[in-house]
Amino acid sequence: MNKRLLIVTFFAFLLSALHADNVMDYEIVAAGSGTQGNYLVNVYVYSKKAKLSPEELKKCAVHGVLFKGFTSKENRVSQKPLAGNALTEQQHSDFFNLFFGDNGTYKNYVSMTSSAYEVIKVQKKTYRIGATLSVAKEQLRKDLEAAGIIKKLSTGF
Amino acid sequence: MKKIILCALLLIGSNAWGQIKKPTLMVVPADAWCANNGYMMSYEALGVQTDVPDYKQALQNDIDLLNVISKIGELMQERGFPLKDLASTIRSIEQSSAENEMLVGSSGLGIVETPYEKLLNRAKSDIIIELVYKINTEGPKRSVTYSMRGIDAYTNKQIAAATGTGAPSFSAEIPVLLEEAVLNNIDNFSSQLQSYFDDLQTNGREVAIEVLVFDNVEGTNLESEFDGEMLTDIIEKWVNDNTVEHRYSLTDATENKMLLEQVRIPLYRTNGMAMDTRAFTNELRKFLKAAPYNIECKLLTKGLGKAVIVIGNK
Repeated sequence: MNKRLLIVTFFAFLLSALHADNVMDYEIVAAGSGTQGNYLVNVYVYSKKAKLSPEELKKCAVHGVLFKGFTSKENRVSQKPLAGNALTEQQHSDFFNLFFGDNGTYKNYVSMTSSAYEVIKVQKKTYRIGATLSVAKEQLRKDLEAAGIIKKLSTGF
Repeated sequence: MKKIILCALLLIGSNAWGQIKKPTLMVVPADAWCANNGYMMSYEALGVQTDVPDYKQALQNDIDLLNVISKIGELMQERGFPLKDLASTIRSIEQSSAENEMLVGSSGLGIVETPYEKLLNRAKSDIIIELVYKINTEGPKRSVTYSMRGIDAYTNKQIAAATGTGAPSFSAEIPVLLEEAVLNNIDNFSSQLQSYFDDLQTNGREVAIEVLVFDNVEGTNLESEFDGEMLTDIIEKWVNDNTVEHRYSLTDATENKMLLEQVRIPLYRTNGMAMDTRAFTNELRKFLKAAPYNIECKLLTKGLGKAVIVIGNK
């Protein structure tokens, strides 16, 4: 009985640890004015490893533009989340699970402006990895409108 | 088969009717911008000097203004909401007035136009986007302070706004700084506009209704009594019964004038057709014309959002 309990507890811990790894812990701020139809953002991801794949950073950039929004110290302008708020992600979880999946289409809307990363060790086993990315917000908005995830300004008229 | 075709026709019909009338948007330079840049004109009416913005001069002389208006128009069009162009509207009004003056029928008589109709002949839209920008200089650095306000032309409420000062630059030219300002602010502006449209679609369109009185032989005014009830109260009761969730606000009520603001009219009529201020107020006109009141009224509209009923004549 005790052995079973021990095994169940072990797997529960393992699952929660895996889940914690999947949760994206990141910050997003403006990196100046992007060209028309694009946002230029700095994304900082907190990771246990000093190396991070570009896909993770891209995913965070698109996720941030959609659900977090960001501010700019220079312009003192804050951009609201494109998809409204985090509730939209839950309401359309089927769509966004595929969208942010391994072969997800989020990659089509983001590019890194340079291959250089900024890596800072902030704690014993935590690194802050940053990069500047360009997110094609107009195309993203249009495609999400077409998919019925967000409303068009002209909806209902 | 017949049933399927009938259902399809009904669906197409309901879609064609079920569209809410789309508000028109127009970008205009704010009065403060026109005053600061010397685009004002003065006229004297009844001994009072009045300054009004001279949009035509501003649009003919200020290329930066034209560029900003064009950029906002381009971005709004991408969002499925093309703007009414101020320059073209002014041109169209002038051309139309000139043509109407020259138009003569076979009897040799010209077009009839009352002074009121002439007065109405001006550039107007349901939502006015007021624009102000200012170039700041500090030594060699330049920045742009930019403000965009969406105002509902009928309720005079500010429904969306975006303001801010861009990052100072040593090298960027003014048009580039202005373009940046537009691009940085348009998303927040359109998101507030979206909230306004959502509210409009949930709670009904907000309009204003004015009731006035003609000098009439019968002496009917808003204090005239019908079965012991004043006409003001009769009209208010009708508005209360016909608005969405009984939402309205009676701002003025005198013997000759009644102003109802924040009147939430339903989006559709009982037959499924789109409702507008004129249709809503026309129902009130019919109600007053019918027994036991038998009051003849004139119905005038001021764009999509305001209607005037004048009691006592047609």
